[in-house]
Amino acid sequence: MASMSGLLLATTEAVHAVPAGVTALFAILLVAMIAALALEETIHAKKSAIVGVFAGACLVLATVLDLLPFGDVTLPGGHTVKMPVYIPAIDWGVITIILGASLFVEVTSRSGVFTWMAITLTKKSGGDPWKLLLSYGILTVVFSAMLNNVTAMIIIGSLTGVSLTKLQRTDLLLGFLVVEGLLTNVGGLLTLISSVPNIIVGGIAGIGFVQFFLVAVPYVVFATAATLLMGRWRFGIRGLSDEQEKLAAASMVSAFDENESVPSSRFFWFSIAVLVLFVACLAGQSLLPAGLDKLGMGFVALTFAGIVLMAYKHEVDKFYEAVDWDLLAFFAGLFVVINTMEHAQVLAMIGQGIKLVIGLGPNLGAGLLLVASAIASSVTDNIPLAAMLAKILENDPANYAAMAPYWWSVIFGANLGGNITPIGSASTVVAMTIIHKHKLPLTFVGFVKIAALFALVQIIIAVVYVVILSLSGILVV
Amino acid sequence: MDRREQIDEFESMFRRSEREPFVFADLPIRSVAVVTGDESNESVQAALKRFLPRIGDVVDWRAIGSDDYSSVAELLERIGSDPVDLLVTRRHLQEEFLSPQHSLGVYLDELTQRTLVPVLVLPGTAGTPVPLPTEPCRRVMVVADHISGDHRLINYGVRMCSEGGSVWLCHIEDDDVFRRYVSAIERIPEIATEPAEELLSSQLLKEAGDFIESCFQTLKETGPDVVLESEVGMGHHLTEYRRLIDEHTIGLLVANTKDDGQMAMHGMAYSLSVELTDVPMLLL
Repeated sequence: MASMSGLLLATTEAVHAVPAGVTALFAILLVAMIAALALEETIHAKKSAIVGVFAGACLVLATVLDLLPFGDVTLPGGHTVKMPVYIPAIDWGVITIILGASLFVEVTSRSGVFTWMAITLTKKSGGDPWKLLLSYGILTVVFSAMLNNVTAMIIIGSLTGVSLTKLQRTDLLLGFLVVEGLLTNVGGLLTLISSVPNIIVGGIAGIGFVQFFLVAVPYVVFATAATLLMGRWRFGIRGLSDEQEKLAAASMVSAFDENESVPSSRFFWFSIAVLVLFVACLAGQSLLPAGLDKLGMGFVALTFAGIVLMAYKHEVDKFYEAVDWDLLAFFAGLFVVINTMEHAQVLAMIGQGIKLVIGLGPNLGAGLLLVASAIASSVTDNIPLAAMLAKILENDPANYAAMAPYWWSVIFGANLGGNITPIGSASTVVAMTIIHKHKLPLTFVGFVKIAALFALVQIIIAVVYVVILSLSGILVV
Repeated sequence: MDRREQIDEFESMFRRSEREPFVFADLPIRSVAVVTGDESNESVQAALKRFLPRIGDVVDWRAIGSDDYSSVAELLERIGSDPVDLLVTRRHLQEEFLSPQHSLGVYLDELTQRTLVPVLVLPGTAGTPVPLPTEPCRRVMVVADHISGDHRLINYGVRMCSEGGSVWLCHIEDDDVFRRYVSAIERIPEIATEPAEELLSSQLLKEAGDFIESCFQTLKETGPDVVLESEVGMGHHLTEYRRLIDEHTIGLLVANTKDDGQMAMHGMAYSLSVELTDVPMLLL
């Protein structure tokens, strides 16, 4: 990550005096791109296509207006290489983490380890609705942290539909799916690689994997418990009290065979071992010997993807096909857009506005930044928001050290804002897809009416938590 | 793969892991009504006791001869007013003069569809009865086109088998129907025909296989002393069942006749009971 920042600096050192009109023009382009991303479903265009168009337009405009510093890129050691101006604009550290992690997850999920865990917990719940909600809720958080929030929602949401149908409790399906959707974004806060905003902000801020986990875990535990209890209250999900009902429910869920989706017990155990090792390597990445730590987390992710791919070496192309290329192309385009916005002084302009908020002090300022980030990411993609805010904070390193509360305001806000509306995050979109697949009547407004209270409580807890960490000196400006 | 496809893939995976565990029940058969035409009821009872030794604990034998009813309604009313656990009868009751060949006769038809009581159909017809084998029935075949979850059918099969005998659990997927679906798939460019055919076929047979496996386990732990055998495959129902009956010298065939969607007898059961007149059948 550090070397990429070095590359990035090589292209951004020269700061031009940019006319206000040009900055305003680029700011309009930025707003238009964010609006287009928010209307992704309506305009029937993939994220990468939308951002690609804007990245191209920004590059052309910035070149014509002479905003970009063309020239050779200086590498460590003084060597220079010729490289198109948009290549070093991309944060390849982030791209390699996402590529490596998604390939790793894709292969290990073939071992059936995640479905095995989900079915085992279903059986352990005995079919009791409240125990089932607790199991699925905790599993959603864990899967969101280990995999990503979309895959977590797909796995747990699918199993919820099947198991509640089996238990003849489809009346509870809506409540389960909404709670699970809301917990994906809480789980996405658990580790540095659990969500893209974490990867971007944590990478730029220089927050380590363990450091991130230690700060995030108390909040995740508390917010998960609060969400589950609210879900119990809001949707009337109660445990079974009648012995006959308990026996019948236990008998129904005992019919699931957790080993069905395990194609090979050897690969199953191999996947568990590699998964543990992967997490251990990420956690200890900064302690890797012989300078290996300099290769970064992206290298760790790609290495582990390579190791597990060896199990399917004759069909690796299938896994390459499964990679979300739209997401990766979206990031590449987004980094190019943000880089041109930086040269057009748009980020500096927004930074001035943010300084006003932050100027209110580490407590009120951090709290307001968190709420503002949450509101902004509820109506549009949280990735551009996180990338932009992180870039703005990065440009003022004197004020924003690695453990400054503002980074955490952006991380919490960008993740939790996704819970306010059904389009706020990719996992709530998946939750809505499953809800509609089961023909449950829930509109956009209906979702907001239900989810707003949950999101409000989660955001209040986050604000209080960040303030407590600031007051206790764990987070410092 | 888009999100909907991914959701669908995981739902399929979880549905695939659903098992229907077999539940064994020792079904009580304490009262039997033997409905005959002009045939001697006593001789039928005696033959039955020899053929099905495990119904030896029947304490209530009722004889319903041709003098006891003159219409279907009368027979049904009589059975309804004094229910029994098993009915025994023959094809073409009271229709000897019609010499029918391609039906079961109105009485048997109505008995199987209007009562919930299992009906044991003796071989032959009322006009030309075929005597029951003199040896105890040691090979029972349970047939179904959807055996998974049919606990009652299997429990009756087990109930009728002599101690130490064999019960064959058979599930034949009709390949004509399967071909019809495959030919539809062949016309859908979005679906790759060969893997779809293979996957569909293996899944259809796997469900039956899994349930039969569960029967093996349960009966081994809690059931009576019978040996379970199985036959799961694809083919033409009648041809396959006839082959299996001959191949394994089956003494009694057990099949479902009721169909929730219609008043008439289930298609496969009807064709089996019309065509296989030489084999005793228990129709549920």
